[in-house]
Amino acid sequence: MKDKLHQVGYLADDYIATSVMLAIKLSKPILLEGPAGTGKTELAKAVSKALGNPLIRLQCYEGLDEAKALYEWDYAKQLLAIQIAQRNALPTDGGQSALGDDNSQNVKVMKSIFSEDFLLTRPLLQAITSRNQVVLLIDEVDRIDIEMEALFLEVLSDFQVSIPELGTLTAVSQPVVFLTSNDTRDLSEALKRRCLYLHLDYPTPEREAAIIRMHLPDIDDYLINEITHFVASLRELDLEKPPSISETLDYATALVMLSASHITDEEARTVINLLLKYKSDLDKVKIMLEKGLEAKKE
Amino acid sequence: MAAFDMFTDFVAELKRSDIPVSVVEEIELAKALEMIDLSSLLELKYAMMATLIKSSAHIEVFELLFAKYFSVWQSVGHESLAEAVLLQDSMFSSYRSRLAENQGFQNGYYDANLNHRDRLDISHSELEAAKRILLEAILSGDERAIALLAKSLAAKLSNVASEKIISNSYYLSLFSRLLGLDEVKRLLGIAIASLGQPQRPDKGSDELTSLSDSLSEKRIKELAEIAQLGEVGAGLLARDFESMLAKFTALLSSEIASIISAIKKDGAELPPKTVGNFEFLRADENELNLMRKELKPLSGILAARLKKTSYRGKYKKVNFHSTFRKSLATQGVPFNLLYKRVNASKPEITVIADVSGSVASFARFSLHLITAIADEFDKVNSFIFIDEILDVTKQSKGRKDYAEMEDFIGLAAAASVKGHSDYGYALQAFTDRYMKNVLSPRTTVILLGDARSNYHPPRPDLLAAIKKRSKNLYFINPEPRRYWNTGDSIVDVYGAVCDKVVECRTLNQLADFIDTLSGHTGSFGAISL
Repeated sequence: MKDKLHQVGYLADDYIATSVMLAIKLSKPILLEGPAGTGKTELAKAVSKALGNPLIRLQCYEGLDEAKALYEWDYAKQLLAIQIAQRNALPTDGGQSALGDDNSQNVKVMKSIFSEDFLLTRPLLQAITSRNQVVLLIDEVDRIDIEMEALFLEVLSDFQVSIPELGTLTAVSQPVVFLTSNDTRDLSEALKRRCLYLHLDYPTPEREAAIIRMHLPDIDDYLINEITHFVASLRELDLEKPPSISETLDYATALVMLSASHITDEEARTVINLLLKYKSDLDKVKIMLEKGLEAKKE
Repeated sequence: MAAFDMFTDFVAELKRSDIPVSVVEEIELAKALEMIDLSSLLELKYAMMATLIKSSAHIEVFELLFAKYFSVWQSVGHESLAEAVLLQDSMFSSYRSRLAENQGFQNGYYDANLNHRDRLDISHSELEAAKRILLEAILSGDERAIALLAKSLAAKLSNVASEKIISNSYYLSLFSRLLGLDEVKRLLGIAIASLGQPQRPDKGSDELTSLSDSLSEKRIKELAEIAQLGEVGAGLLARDFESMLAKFTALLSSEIASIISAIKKDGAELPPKTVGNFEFLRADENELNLMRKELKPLSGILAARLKKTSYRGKYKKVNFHSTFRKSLATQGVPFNLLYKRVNASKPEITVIADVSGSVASFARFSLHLITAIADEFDKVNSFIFIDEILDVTKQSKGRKDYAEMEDFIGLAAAASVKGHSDYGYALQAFTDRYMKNVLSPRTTVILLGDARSNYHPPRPDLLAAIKKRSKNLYFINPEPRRYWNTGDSIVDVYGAVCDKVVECRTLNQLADFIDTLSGHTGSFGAISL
């Protein structure tokens, strides 16, 4: 697993690899939790690449409902079908529409418009009905209302969807499911119970260095070391938003492009806003850097 | 069997530390164990983490307990792990067969024992002696010797430090392995067979011959007589020996249990706590730091909860007027219904906090949490006192750093005359200066403190006046309930006036209390960090 993920450009440690392997073997959904920017979504993408399965993504947001997550009837198409049926049923010699009188015709139309042809599949249903195994990513579950979580329960534990008009659709091939959460609120016990849990935290400087090196093979070892330790110390601070892995990567790329050799260089300090996205954070760190430099000079 | 007991014991331990583990999760673990390479301790750990732990706040406690439970396996290494697996019950039968194929573990058996012995401080010769005593005692039917042996073996455990104690069943299986009870059984079988022979043959093991030397002639004669009764006699003896052996294990088990419970009592070992259950008044510097780290996510969670409830109205009223106006555009057909806007009133909060030394850290946490979610209330007014009361509403507005909170709490100390808390005086000052402007019938007043007023007059009449002008009056106290009303604590004097007195020893309790302020009744379940 680890090697496979590495091949598609994701550096997994043993913890991540074991958990993902278990999730796949036990065919259980896996809940990824941790601060923003620690590679949760990236992991799902990498697994989909490594397995060679397509990724279906459901982005959660406040107010997400069944119609957007599971399925929806295609009303416009249904209306059209009814109209066509009506026109066909019109008796040629004028007079009243036959549709109202002929009961069997009615039933036929009703049945036909509630068939799978008129179903708009949304991500969850799509993942279930797909012939080949897919990777389903339910991103930022913590954003939806707690009541809406129940929506996922049937899909996640039994891999099936019940549609009143059609019956129950069961998965042909069970998808690999990833749920991500930024820990902004507690998820319900019911949801947690159905998932394996993987906590992704900020990487150790060593692992972060390896990640940077993978993306920027030419970077100077000394600089990597400086960057990763600097970022690690930033994360220790009480900041509005600690720098994420991708931001660190941007920062490293910028430093390489500016051909800076130390993070204390003038050029390097101008791009520090790649790491910190709040003004208060920037001010705080700038003051600290100044102080540090002065201390060095003395 | 034994190894699986270890897992269930481990889960029990997790539960003792307030980490919820459901049966579903245990089953999941059992399934997962079949899929991983059990020889790798790390893999085992990650599998357990993925299946049992469902919150980041619990990871630390899990790591602690894991290290405690499974470090034995770590030190012993591959061989004994394989051996432990061999002992497992049918749930792991697939492993048993797979490992049986791999003969390697048998070579490692002895080394594995060595490791156990080191931890328990038993030498090889001691073990051999114990085994001999056991055999002798069983053969001679000496129950007293058996009891003594069990006691002395269990006593070896007394050296184990309380934090390293594993489980009773673990030690029992460890001893039976070290003593080689299976081997004892086999020897007994041989003994019966050889006693059955009319003239004593010397083909029994050396051990047996030396054993028979130590038994009295009379006893040997007795045994031989029974054994020579043929099959019936042999069966009788076998049952006899077996019951003796069972007695020994039972005794050993109870001895182990009593020793371990004694050790645990001595060490006053408490299950490790999760951050949410650290106590404000007893937390050390390190724990306070950890709690501080939880404040920000906690306030986020609380804000999200309060927000959810505040705008979710059950019924929406149709605004007939504007619906009708709009329907004119559609020839009087009310196509779109317009609703009256719901103006959910949020509670106004007034916090009056005792910030004297004894409860300062509690006040800081509470004030910080409440002001951090001030957006979810219509208005938050904060007051702090030791004896002189100060209005710190302005200073505590907005999202403050913990350090900044520290600064303005220092103000109260500076303003203090007596230097220790005086509730009566503070209440007097509050009613005189602030009450009229601050309190309204929509205000919820929260009094924070331990109600230890250093024997100054408590003035509950003033508190009653405050209660009269506000909607609710709550008193939250960081002291454990059993200390209330002891010494200079006057909880009941105030409690009689308040709507509710709430014990808030931990972050979890504090968060739960704030959660109830919005008026909804726990539809989200308790907060557990």
